[in-house]
Amino acid sequence: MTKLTSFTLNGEFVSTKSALDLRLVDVLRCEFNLTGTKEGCGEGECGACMILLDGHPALSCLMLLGAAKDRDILTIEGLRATQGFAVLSQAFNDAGAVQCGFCTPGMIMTTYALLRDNPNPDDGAIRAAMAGNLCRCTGYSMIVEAVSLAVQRRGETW
Amino acid sequence: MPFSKDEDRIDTIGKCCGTTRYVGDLSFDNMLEAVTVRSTVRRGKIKKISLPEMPDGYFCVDASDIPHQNQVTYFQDTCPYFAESEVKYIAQPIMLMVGPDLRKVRRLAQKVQIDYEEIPAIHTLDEALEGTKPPMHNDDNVYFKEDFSYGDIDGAFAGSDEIFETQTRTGYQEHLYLETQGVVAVPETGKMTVYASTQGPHAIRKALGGAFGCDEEYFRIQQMPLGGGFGGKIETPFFLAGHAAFAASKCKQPVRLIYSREEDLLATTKRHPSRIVIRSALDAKGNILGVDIDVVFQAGGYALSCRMVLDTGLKKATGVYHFPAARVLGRAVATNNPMAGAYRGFGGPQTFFAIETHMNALARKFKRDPLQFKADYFIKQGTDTLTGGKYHFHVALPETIKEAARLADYERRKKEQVQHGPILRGIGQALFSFGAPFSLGTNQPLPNRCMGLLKRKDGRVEILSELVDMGQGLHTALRKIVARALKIPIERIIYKDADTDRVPEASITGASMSVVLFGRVLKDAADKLKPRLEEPGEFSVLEKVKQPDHLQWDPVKQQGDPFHSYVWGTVIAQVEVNTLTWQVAARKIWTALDVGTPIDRRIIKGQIDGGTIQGLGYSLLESMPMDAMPASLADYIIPTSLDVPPVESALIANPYPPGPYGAKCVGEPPLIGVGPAIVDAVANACGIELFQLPVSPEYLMQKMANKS
Repeated sequence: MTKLTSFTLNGEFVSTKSALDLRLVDVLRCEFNLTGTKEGCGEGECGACMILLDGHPALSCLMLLGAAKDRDILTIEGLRATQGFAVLSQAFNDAGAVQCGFCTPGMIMTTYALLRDNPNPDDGAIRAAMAGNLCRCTGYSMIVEAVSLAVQRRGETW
Repeated sequence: MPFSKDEDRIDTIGKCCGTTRYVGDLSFDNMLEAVTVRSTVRRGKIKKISLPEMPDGYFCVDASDIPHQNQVTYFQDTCPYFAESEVKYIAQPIMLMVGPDLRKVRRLAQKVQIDYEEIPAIHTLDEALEGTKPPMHNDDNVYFKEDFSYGDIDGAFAGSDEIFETQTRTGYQEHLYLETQGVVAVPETGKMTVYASTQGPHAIRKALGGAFGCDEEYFRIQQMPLGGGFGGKIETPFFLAGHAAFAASKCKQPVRLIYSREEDLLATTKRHPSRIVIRSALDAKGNILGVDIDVVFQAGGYALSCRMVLDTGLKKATGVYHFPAARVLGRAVATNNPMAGAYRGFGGPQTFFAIETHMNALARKFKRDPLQFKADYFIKQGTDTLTGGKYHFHVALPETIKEAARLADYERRKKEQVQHGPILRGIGQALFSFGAPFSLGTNQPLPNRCMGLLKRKDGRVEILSELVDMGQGLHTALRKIVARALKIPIERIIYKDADTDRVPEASITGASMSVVLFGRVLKDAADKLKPRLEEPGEFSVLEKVKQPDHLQWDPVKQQGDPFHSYVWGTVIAQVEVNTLTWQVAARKIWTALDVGTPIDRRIIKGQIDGGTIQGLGYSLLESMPMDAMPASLADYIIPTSLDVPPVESALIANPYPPGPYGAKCVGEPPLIGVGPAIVDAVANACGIELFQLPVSPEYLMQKMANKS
């Protein structure tokens, strides 16, 4: 008997017959074609696969599909339709926070959750929130600057 | 200034949205997944390979499936795609397992049973030189040896009152681009397209032509956006491209080969570990009469590009100094370790760490101010190079020192030194130069390589170039140069990722040469196109790659100007040392850099910040045993947002006349001085001399225990 796993994905109710022990990152990328979620390490160290699980940052490479049952999952593809994303991507652009871009979707997911829960983080709070997202290109300062810019510009966006 | 505005990068929005397609995001109908079966021993003969039962639709691909030649022809030594009879390092590729379901392919790969007859392995560069194990290369394990000298070095030592010697060591460094290595090979009618995360599309096409024994035009290489490179996507992609192409050719289906992080850490190239001994001949007053430098780089199971990396490091080994006499001897040695290769800095981080650490230790020995002590030997315009050429243009080193000292408030901060108590504090500095690109022979014709501009019907101009944007912002920088030369808005300049069917061969993207050399070629092409911009229809202008006129280089005698241009720089770092844990934290780093004319200050800041922090990781965190690779990111620590101090930087305007609008380069230089500056700062805090990178807590604790 095939087991159906249902969850909310980017605001839509979805179901899949895939094996429960598949990693969520593979299900998102291969089955739902949501390739904006990246795999950088596969062991929960780099944060490139960051999604929001019931609104909180979670590493999709460390989650099995079964754990997604009845949960709410947001990927960069869902976030990018929001006004909040528009503010964040503009800030990342203006601060020069994007080089190779492989860490960027994960960084933006983390930033979105940070600013929702803490509208006015200082430098230390930003760095602490981003510590699970590795970047090898920028040295982080321009990313922190991007988040600070977004703090100034976000208004009541989210 | 010619470039006053920072341009937005067109790649930013797609990268934020997650719509940028990296090679791992590609998928094709009937695509198979591939997993590499690797050696589990360091050195040995392959006695027997037992395959598991293969389900329908699953294949293994090995050396017998290579149509012509089991050798990556790009390299001078014999470097096989797949090991056949012997293995020379752990994780050396032996075969590929291929099939539709990646999880099944992985399980099959794990079930391959390989029996070896093990041979005593050479673990480190010291073992390679000691000769206690069966040699791997000739009798002496030396892949490549080279020396340079000027002045009467033997006379300097014979007439000296004292000899001062330092020995520095540096370890492996992993590139750790966030996107692991990957390719997809797609067989098509009469053709094969390889989608690759690579810094050198045309070089891959050539190598595949050699392996298949066919016209290289059979292959089309489509370079995909790179999730970082740092030099790490120069050599390794040859292997992936070959492996996937052999499999696609055998199975007649698209084949995707993406490394896991574990494989990437274990099997791909890294920065060469080094051991460098520097001896200074001193007179009674402490003046340097001559310097003798012995450089050993640890290469791996195959030589790969160690000749070029060592050669470049050696030509920079005397640092920013011209001594009365100098001799530099270098050797790259064979070990049974993963292959070392190109990495941001290309030999320079090791040799600059050695010379700056030596000079700083000498200054401390004589209780001299280090910057004043070093100034007696500074290179100036017109000084001879190590190789008998000249520094032709203004040397802006003193300006970078002055600017870095001003930024750091150096004189005041020196007084913040704390040598007692739970937290020690110190400040350090290092001076560096970065020559780039390396000169090709000027007494013989250059290879026929070019860059082009395609004027389209709609009036837009496309840059025809294989040079790769691996995140550093190169496409934007080159578009700015062309837009300026054509006097049209940058929005009308197009630059696509390279497709070898559409763009001519120019070069692998590396060695910080893309703006200074190829930017000039594109500017010259644009100057030719400018008067024809209004002509109707579509046409292209090609410009051959040529070296600037001031260069003289004899590659046989290795004499003349080794590099086209030189970036000059100063790094100052302040650190704190926790005497309970012996962890070192950088408080702040200041860098002043002469990059010629800056093309885009925001992009340059990205390079300076990123290079500095990669250098900081190299200095403090990134530790790999000389003979064993970590298989997990949990065991190889790179800086996170919490580990990095503020980096403050300033640019010195010292235009380089042959460069485009006076530009030099910026990709590699910011990393070079960080290691010696950090070590100098720790030495300043702790009151001891340190000679090793990274400065791990274990190393520092040991040194401090010896002190007391």
